[in-house]
Amino acid sequence: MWFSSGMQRAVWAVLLWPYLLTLCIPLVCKEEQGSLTRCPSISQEKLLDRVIQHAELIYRVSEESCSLFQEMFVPFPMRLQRNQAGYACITKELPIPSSKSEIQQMSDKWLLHSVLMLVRSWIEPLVYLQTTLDLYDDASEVLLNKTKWVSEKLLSLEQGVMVLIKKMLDEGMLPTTYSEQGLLHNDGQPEMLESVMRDYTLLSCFKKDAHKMETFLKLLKCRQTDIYNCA
Amino acid sequence: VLNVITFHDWRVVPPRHPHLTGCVSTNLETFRCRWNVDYFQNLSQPGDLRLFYINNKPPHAPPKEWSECPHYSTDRPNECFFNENHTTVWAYYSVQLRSKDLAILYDENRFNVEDIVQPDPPVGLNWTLLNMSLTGAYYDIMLSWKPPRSADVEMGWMTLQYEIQYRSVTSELWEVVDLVKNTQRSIYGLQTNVNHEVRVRCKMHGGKEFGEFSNSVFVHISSKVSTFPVVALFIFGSLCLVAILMLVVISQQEKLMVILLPPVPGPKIRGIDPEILKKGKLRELTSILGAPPELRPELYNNDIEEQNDTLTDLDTDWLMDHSLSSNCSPLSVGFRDDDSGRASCCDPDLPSELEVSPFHPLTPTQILSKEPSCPAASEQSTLVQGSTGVEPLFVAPSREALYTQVSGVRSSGNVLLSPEVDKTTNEDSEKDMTEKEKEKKAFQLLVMNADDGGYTSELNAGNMSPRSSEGDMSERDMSDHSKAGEDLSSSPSPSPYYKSDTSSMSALAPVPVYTMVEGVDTQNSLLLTPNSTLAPQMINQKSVPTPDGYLAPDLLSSVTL
Repeated sequence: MWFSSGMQRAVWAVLLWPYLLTLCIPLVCKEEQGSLTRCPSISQEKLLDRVIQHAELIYRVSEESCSLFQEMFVPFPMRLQRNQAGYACITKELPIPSSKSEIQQMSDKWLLHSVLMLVRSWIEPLVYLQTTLDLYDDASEVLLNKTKWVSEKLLSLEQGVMVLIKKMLDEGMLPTTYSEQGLLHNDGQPEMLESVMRDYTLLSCFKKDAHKMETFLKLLKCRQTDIYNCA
Repeated sequence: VLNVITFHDWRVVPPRHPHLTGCVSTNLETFRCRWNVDYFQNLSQPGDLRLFYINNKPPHAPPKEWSECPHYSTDRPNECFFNENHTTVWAYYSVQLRSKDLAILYDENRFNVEDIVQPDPPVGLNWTLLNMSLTGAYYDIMLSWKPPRSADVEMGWMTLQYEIQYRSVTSELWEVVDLVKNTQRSIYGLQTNVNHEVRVRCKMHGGKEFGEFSNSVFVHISSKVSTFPVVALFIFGSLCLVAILMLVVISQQEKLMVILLPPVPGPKIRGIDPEILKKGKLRELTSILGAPPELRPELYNNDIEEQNDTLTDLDTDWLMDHSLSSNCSPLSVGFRDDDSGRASCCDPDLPSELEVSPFHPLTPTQILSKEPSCPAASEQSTLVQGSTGVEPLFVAPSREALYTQVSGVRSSGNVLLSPEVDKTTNEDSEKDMTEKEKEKKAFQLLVMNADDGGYTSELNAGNMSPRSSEGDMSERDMSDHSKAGEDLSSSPSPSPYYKSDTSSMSALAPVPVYTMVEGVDTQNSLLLTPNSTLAPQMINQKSVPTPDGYLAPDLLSSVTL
């Protein structure tokens, strides 16, 4: 199932507006590439709002990328076969709760750190995904741009979350350690289908984690504004 | 370990087979799976079909066993409900529909819970009137609703996007409004006296599928209005206005043209009638150029009014004479130039005979006050500014020579103009009489009346060298003209004219570099001061800084030949 060029353009046009939105939402102070202490002007609320907006957009775009990839490359019978034994999602160091009640019991600090950990764990795999997608013959421009956009925004999200941690939790700067991340896949000759499925799993796992980030951040925001309804 | 026959490709399976119709979550905390038995009615008893699931939370756990449905719904058949305890959001579920004895696998499904969210419909759909149009034919409403109760929007657990659809009840087509995140939206342009139906549905932000539609709300506003005359009246009125405007424009075209594009006054200078120069009538020429010294103060006169009085045949209409026949636009005829009391360039009321009269003093203000409408006139007006940097734009495309060069002075005092000399000297000089050169000579000729500010840069007009046949002389002339213009005190360095071959001049008396026109004798020939001692006087002249060699009239007095 290959997109016709007209469809591509239509998809491209329809999905373009997230980019415009992010142009209007600079996440954090621009000058903070090196040091995070030079952002005194932005308030915590605004920062949290922006971080949430970023996370929402990242989730949206990742979801679109996953659908695009599925349409283009994944054969129909294989679509239900995700997450088989060979293609589990990546492990995390921290156990992430998976139900609303569990998450509600988590502290702010835990939420923020989980988000940060999630973000960091995906920076490198996305870069890897970019390189593999380039190898595909028919990868559309839209898909490539989306993945590139996502990996860029992930970096700014990381910085935003770090600033947020500093502001909200009054913690010092955390070292930027990137946890080892990788897909568990079968060792073997990476055939086309294998690599397709691997990338597909990568995308869907990322989508899932993006949703987690967004949810955690939103819960955090709720707690900031109205602690009684959110707890 | 279940020993089963799997049917993965359910296209092969006959459609009557029991199958999963879908698993749906409404709030991201619980979900339910439903299946359909179709024609297998003997399986519709509860317990006939069993649902098993497995989820991979935590990952890497050893392959777990399949668990049976935690709760088969009681309120409706063929449904399995997974409550909060059995729902893990970001985990991967596999669900299987099997027969009672687990021997047959009818259907299988795999999903993530966050992917199967279909929120409940929004509640509390309500509308209020925003405003009505002037004609009363259309109105705008503001629609508002509340998110479904099941979705925990306050906590931010779910973010919903809403889609509104409306239509008039008579039509089959629903108008779709773009997704909004707020719980209100305005709809514009609904028609009065028409019953409208509005409904809302929502989906999770980033989700794929919408939930169910809410109950429809009906909007109806009645008004008494007759729309037809108003629209027709507007159209008719605007058309009439346009027609009237067109009529006005067309009928008053000429006047409008004057208002919009006022005619440019002609130049205030009447030069020498080109006809005179062409035909070589030196007598008339000398009469023009000759002026007793006492008349010179009049040349300094910049007064506009006085100029009106002193208008003579030396008016620039002569300069513009050629343009009468050519480029004048008919519109400018008949419009008078208020500044000078004369008409524009195209006005033919010019005295035809020549009189002895001083040159009209040139002032830039006069010239530049209005631009002549004829293009040739404008060129001439720029000419008379005396800018040496400007190429003598004196255009007379139809004429051979408006101005010519004084090629020599006879011993009798007559001035030899080069057309005359051509007969005796180089034939080529005539060829070289390009318009440009002739204009230059004209420049020089006019400047011989040195008190005239416009032409002072051409102080070497007294130069009597004949026009050489060398074409490059013109270039040098130009450059030297500019030099001369900038530095009037330059010594009477040999002008390029001197470099030309003076063979033709052998018959003539040695001429000074600069000389003065003393007057015009009765025969209208120039009386030049043959005294070469006048030339050194040039040196005494102070250097006058002029832009492009233009001398102001008040500085002219310092210039003496």
